Amino acid sequence: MSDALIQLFADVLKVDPSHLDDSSSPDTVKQWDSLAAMSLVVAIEEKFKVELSTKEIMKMSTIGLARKTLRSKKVAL
Amino acid sequence: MTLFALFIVASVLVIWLAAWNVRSLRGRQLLLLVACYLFYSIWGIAFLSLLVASSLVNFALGSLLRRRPSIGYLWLGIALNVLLLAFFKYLPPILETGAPGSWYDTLAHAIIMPIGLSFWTFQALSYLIDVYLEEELDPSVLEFCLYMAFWPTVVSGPVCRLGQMLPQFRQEPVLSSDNLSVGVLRVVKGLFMKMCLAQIMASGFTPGGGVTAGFDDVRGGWGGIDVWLLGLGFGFMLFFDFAGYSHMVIGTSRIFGMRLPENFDRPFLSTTPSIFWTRWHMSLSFWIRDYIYKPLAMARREIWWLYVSIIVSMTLFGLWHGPKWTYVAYGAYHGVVLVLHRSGQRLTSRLAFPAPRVLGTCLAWAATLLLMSLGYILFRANDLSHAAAMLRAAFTPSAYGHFAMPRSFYVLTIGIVLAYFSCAAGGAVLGWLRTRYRDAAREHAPRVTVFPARHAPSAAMFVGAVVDFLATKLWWWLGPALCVLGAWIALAVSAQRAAISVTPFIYTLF
Repeated sequence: MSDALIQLFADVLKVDPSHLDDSSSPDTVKQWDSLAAMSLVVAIEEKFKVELSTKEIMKMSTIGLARKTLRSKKVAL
Repeated sequence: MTLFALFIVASVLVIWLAAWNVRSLRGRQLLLLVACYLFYSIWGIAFLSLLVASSLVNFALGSLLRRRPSIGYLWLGIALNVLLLAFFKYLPPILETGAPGSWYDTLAHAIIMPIGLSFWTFQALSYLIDVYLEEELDPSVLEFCLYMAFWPTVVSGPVCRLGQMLPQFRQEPVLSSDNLSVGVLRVVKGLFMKMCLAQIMASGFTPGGGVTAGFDDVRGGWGGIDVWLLGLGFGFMLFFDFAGYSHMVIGTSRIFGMRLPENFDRPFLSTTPSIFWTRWHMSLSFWIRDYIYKPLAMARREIWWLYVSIIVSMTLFGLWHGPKWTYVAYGAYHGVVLVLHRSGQRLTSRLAFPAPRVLGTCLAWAATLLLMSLGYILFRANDLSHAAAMLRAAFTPSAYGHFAMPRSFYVLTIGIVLAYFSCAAGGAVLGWLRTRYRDAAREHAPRVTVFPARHAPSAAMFVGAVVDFLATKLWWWLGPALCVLGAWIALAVSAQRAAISVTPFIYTLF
């Protein structure tokens, strides 16, 4: 599965997109550490032109949950 | 541990076993809760009442948040829990600084912190925040009280999350030889780490030859080597003590088919400070990461703020251990170390720095170990001036000709540390041989029984097969493990001054 969101995570975390899916989380991807988490937020906000609240960011504990949050903000994914 | 406490623990185990035979889910949970409250009542009915009250209030707040995830309710919940913690944990030392005999001094001595308060309060906070974040958690009041008072973890953690515990409270209990073997082995491993290794490192072979005496009873100042070895020695002692405790708790729960979060994952093999903090007291460091660092760091999108957030979070991590400046310094020190490591990483990623990989890994591991050792000096020192005196010795070249400790201390500390790393290396080699054997066996399945034809005979393959057999047939270990456990319990009962009462688990103090 490779789409815009997976590709963004792969680029920021510097991993092969084939190693990522909606269930990927900091527990399964070792590059997804606390520093990378902030880079991810900045990248998501820039790419999808959205502004994320602290609550929304805290809920994004997997790629799938990030997708859910972005869809709730009318981002087509 | 007194005979009375042992009797209570035995009763708790019996009630838990009895609960297994109860068909109704509610009935089973109720029996488990009775066992948990019986266990906590060892420390007095007043403490138990407080635990029950905190559970009910947090459950009520959680129910409100589930109905409407309002930030107001969340702040109310955070404030109530932090106030509870502050009153019992942080207020007494502040009041004690007043005039002796005054009312506030009397009050300070009257306040006694309920055991495990820091642990179960953090569990309550994680529940409230998770519900606010709309995680699907729907505990009944019985299940929430069980989560707060769960007897293996109520005293010193690991700090659990309701999302992990709730499905386990609801599942049918299953007796499996796998759970029994793994559980008993972990309990025995924990006992060995705590009762043998931590105990010996603390007290030493000869009077004054242990880590405790090294910090508290040295006359005439420390030598440079002494300080490094005391830091490293205390780190290992704390590891054996708390990781030993964690093994016992996780193992006990596993016997009953419940899986708890891990607390340690070979922290002294870490090659960076960041990795270390994903392997040391994991249940607390992940709590701090998820509920303090993350919301704080996301308040702004600048790198300097991220660094501030790391330092603030780690300082709070230190302060969690108690109201002492040494703990604050310990936390702040680790915050600064993490920030320096992060900035160093950003810098080196921009530079093409050709270094042999093995050499780089070894250097990074050694540097991490030394940095952690310095941190333990701050953690263990009695006050800041004590820590400053020790650190001064570590950074004074002339102090390196002076040795303040008896010879047995150096032999013991270096011996145990080297033995630990040898065991870790040996374990890694055996694990590798086992993987090789399993890969080969899979290649030749289903013809293979013990040795795959193409790979036999080979000493490495033989060792791999033996390791695989012993690791798979865990019940082989059960007999000897139960004998050790039985012997220890017999010792604890016959000599009421069992080792537990002489040296309490360090983390029960927090």
